[in-house]
Amino acid sequence: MDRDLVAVGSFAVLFVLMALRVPVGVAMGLVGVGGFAVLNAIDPALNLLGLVPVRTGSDYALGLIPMFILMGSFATASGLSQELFRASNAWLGHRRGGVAMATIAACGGFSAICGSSVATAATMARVALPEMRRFGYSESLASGVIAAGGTLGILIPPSIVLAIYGFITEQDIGRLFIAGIVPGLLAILLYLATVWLIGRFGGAHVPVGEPTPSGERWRSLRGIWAVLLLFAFIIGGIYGGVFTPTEAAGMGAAGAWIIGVARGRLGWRATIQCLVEALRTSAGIFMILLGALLFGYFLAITQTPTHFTTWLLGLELGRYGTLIVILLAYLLLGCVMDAMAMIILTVPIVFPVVSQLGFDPIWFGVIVVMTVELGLITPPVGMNVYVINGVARDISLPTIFRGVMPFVMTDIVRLALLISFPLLVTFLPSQMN
Amino acid sequence: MRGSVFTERFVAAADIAAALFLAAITVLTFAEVFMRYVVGQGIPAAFDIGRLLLCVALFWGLAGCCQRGEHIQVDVVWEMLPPVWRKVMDLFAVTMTAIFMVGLSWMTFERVQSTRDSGQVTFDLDIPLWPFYALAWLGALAGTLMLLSRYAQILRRADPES
Repeated sequence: MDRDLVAVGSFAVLFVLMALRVPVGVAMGLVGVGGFAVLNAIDPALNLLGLVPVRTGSDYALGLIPMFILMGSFATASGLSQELFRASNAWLGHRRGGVAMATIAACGGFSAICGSSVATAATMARVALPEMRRFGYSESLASGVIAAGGTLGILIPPSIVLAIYGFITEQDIGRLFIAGIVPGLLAILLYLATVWLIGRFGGAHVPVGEPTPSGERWRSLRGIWAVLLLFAFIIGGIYGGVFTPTEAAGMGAAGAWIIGVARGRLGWRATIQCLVEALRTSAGIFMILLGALLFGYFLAITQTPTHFTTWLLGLELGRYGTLIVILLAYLLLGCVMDAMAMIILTVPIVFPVVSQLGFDPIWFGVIVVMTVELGLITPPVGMNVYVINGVARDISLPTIFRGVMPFVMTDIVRLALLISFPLLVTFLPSQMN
Repeated sequence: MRGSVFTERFVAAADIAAALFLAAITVLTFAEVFMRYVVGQGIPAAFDIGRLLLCVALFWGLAGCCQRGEHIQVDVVWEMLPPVWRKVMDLFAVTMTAIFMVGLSWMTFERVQSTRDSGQVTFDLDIPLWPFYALAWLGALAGTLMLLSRYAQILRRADPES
């Protein structure tokens, strides 16, 4: 049978299955195995099903995903989000828009422990939203700040999505984590500047917070120093080549547990609950990764990535023209798909194009993650927006979407900056041992 | 009713068992690094045991995912439909998941047999691989069986996800 025809047909079936709410990993796996059977034979296709899951499940590098998720769970259960917010508020709260700025700083701090945007948004919505309401912030600004701040989780290391990108493209996950540091810090600074600009020129009600006495400010750091030290230790360890990212994840999870126990926040029951939650999330990621790998084998025999590369390069749009087309496609896809699913489904297809164009694969990883991150706060899917709506039912979706719009603009500016100055991303990883 | 209580308890037990495997991997990884830098000697086979336990934990994690329908899905069409069509769509999705899980369980079992027959062992300590793969296979099998309870859950409810 004609390979191109089967490839096109398989994509059609895949999108229909996903639209019919078949789990993304299952849909990719079924189409991958089915397509392989059509082009090859049923036995080798079934053999893939025997080989790929066991091999992937027992890949040591994959261990960093459940352990970094576990680190985030332990930190959340230990009340870190409240402590981070309290400390940020003590230092920033007295300014105009100070509570909103504190929320962004706390989101940044929480992202350094938790690699998930949705978890960051959900946690900070419970902590910071009541406080912003107390100070009389407009609902759109208060919810928009949290939705945007939540997206920091996907970029600031440890980032689960960056790890998945590294896993699929066989890039060094440690380098990817280090590459996310400067763009993550830049995001925090630009979000803070956005709040300041809204307060100065936006016309929205952006109140001035209460000043905190100097002694209280320093005392507020007591609750967070240990966890921030843990973050510095694991990221420093990766940067210095002292341990692998998987080992760093193990150290981080164990360290977060020790801190939680030492502070009397983690007992036996809470520990088990965190372990169960982390494993549930990881199993969901494992399933989608399995599907992607099975689908990838099928794509390889159809030579779809090669054909796609030839076609896209044949359009002669130039290096940056082609890159912009790819990023625009991600933005559109982000309107209907989950960030993780989008990365897993599309990166194997576009990665050869990007490599052919001579872009740095680590840099592209950060750029693509930042682009899918926009999908978390743009309509109609905007997962972070739905999460905040779930926590605060009385704030409507359009209100939250209105609130995130200034931050979407900021994200586009940041994306343009990092495309124009790739060194901002590549410098730190290039200095690694 | 008794069946659903049994299922809940089974899933809770499976969750805890899988969670303990994750705890073991974490402790092993932490201990390996600690021993390497503090004692100057790593734990033999920590790498192999860690990755094999990871495989078991993830396969058992799949069982819980199947029972609770916690997979990553695209909800855009589903959200626009009335409850009855949502139910139809959910039943279709579970059927597709069941087909995948049956294939996965079957072929993983074949892998267990072939690994046992070929006598594959770990590099350092010659630990046989097949018991770990067999534990992982049990997780896949449990996941497949859990989908039956997922069918029952969907059929029982007016709007499965409400």
